[in-house]
Amino acid sequence: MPAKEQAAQHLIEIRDIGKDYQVGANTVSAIRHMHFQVDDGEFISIMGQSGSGKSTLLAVLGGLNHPSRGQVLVDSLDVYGLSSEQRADFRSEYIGIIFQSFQLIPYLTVLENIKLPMAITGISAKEQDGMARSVLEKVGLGAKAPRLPDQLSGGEQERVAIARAIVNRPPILLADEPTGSLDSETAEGVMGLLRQLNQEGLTVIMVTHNPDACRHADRTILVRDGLCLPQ
Amino acid sequence: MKLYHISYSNLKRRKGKVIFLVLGLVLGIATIVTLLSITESMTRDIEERLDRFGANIVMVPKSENLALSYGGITVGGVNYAVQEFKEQDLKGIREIENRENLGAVAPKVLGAAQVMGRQVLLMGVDFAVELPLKTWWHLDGAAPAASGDLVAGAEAAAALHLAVGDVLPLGPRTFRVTAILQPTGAAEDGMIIGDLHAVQEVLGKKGIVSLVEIAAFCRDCPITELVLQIAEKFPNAKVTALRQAVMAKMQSIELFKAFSYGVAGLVIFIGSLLVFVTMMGAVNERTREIGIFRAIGFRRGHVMQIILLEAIVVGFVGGFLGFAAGNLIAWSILPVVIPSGTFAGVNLPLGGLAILLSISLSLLASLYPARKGSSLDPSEALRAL
Amino acid sequence: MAYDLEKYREKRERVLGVKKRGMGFGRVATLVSLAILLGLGMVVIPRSIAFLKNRQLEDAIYKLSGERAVSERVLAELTKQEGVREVVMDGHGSRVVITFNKGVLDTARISAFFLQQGAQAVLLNEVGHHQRLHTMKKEAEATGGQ
Repeated sequence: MPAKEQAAQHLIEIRDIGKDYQVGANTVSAIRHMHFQVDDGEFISIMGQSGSGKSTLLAVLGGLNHPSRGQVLVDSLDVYGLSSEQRADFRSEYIGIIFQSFQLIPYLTVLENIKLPMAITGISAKEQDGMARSVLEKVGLGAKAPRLPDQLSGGEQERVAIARAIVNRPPILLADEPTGSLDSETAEGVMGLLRQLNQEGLTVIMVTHNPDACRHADRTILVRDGLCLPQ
Repeated sequence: MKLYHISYSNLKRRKGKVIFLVLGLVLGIATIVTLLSITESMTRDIEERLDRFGANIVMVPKSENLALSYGGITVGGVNYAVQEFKEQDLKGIREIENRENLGAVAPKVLGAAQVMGRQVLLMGVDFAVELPLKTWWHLDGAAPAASGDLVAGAEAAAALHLAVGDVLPLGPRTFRVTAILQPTGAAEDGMIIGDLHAVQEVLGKKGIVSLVEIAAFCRDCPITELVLQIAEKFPNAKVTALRQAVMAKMQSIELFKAFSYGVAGLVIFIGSLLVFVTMMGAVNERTREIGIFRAIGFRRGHVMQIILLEAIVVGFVGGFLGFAAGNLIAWSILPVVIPSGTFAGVNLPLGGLAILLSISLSLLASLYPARKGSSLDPSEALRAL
Repeated sequence: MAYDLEKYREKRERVLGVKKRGMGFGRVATLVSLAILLGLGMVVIPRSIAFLKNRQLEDAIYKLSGERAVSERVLAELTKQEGVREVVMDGHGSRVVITFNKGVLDTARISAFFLQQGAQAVLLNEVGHHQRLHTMKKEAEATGGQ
């Protein structure tokens, strides 16, 4: 196997990672030591309080934040052994990401936001339109295609963010506090959607501080002070 | 969805910033287009005047000049030792090597005479040669046919209260005014013009010629060579191609042109600086957006492409509007710069160059901001989320 | 489900197979812009500099007569005079073109020099150096084309 590939037993392997930051003269560890695996098709929730390192962990998983030590393997790829351009392609091919506060592009319509990940794929305009409308229907917002994000409710924006994350059919969906700013009824709807996507074969890793959200997950990893707690 | 959709949509929503960006380029491009249009109109104005002149070469007696200067400042001069030409010698003009390029040879005699108690400049010409040469002369009355016929310049006629049909005693002879010359704006307006030999008799300059105008047949003749050959034949003459005298005036236009490039270069530099600063600000504002792009898999090159495509659009619009504004300004202020001049027209190749220049400047000014934006660490950008 | 190495093989190969395909957009844009600006600069700047440098230069065309040897000696002396840039005999053999700085010298002084040196020279024409070159070029194009 080439150096950028490693023998793996699971779709995602987090091997002894740590992440430190320099704050003035001090070194602060956002992640002290984490080691776990995720199998293909699993629904994992990572739960912890604010400052526990869970969002940092999600960024590391998504190829967005280089750990200070350890390895991240996804589909046998050593994510941080890839070049910067390869890592961008890795994100495009493998990862669908749902940010906290949705992070839709305000000057693009709902449909254009969903098509955004396809802008660099070379997929034809007709096919892009078909794929985008298909996922928009799947999340129940077919009629909202021409609207701008600020014309939607919080729950609707969350659904658009989900649609954008899955339009390219990535195998892994990362969700950062997907129900954080939603009321309980809307949150339940969103969680139901994530569960449905998982049942269709998507590996879902969700970061949350809400114990209710974890009900839908196959497994919960507890994080505190930069460590995964024994389960 | 393509990357240019993102660029276009961003520009559409940030109209204020786009106006600012475009304004810098418009100022620079409009400046250079205005200046170049004006110099082109000035050049065309001179060339049109040249086309109107029948005579291409003027031969006058060489004179010595005593220049009066005080501390290096010349305040004028005194001409002395002026030797006019003998009419019989003028046949030498038709003996030069390039004689086939010669058209009309129009001799003139000049002198002052007393008319009705006033001193008037008399000019004697060969009307058969002179009238076809002076295409801009318009006569009110009949063209002179006999040696006793006169044409009065407009100003001379007004000063002496002359009308067509009036009889005028000059020296030992009596002449008849057959026509009044409409104003030409030149020296002829103040003259009385008669037959060459008749005026020679009045002035006591029999067989003498004061100056000669010589026309060449074709526009692209070797005028320089004609001038030198005639000058060789008449060593006591100062021979000047009219084109040469006019071209000397063109020098000041060339100087103005060189100055224009300098000024325009400075204004364009300032415009580009404005683009650079505005783009840097725009990239900083878009940290979050760039973070999202990078997070969903855009490479650095994709982010750069988005920003540079915006720069290309801004450059194109700036170049186009700058070209239009430059032409409009040139057209408006030309009557002030050249009172009788006309606008040379819209120079489309210049427009193409202006747009290319504007796009290039916009691209170069946006390169560093684009590089900076695309190099943003996605994790750093996402911390802004 | 258990991890299957083959399931996402295509994706893996696409990620690993990333090659730089030709020049990036940024590099192309830079090169094109620089080419345009340098091209325009190379056309405009040398012409402007040449014009500004030659502005003070004037050409006086004299006809020389008399002994050729005397003429050659006088012209060699003239070349050394302050303000004289160039002295060239033209194709006809009897005319000489003297290029001089009009801020330092004038035709009266050049004529006086010829007189002093005992040479027979008649001033035929005086014209700006830049203008004469421009006119000669245009006339050569016109007669060459005929």
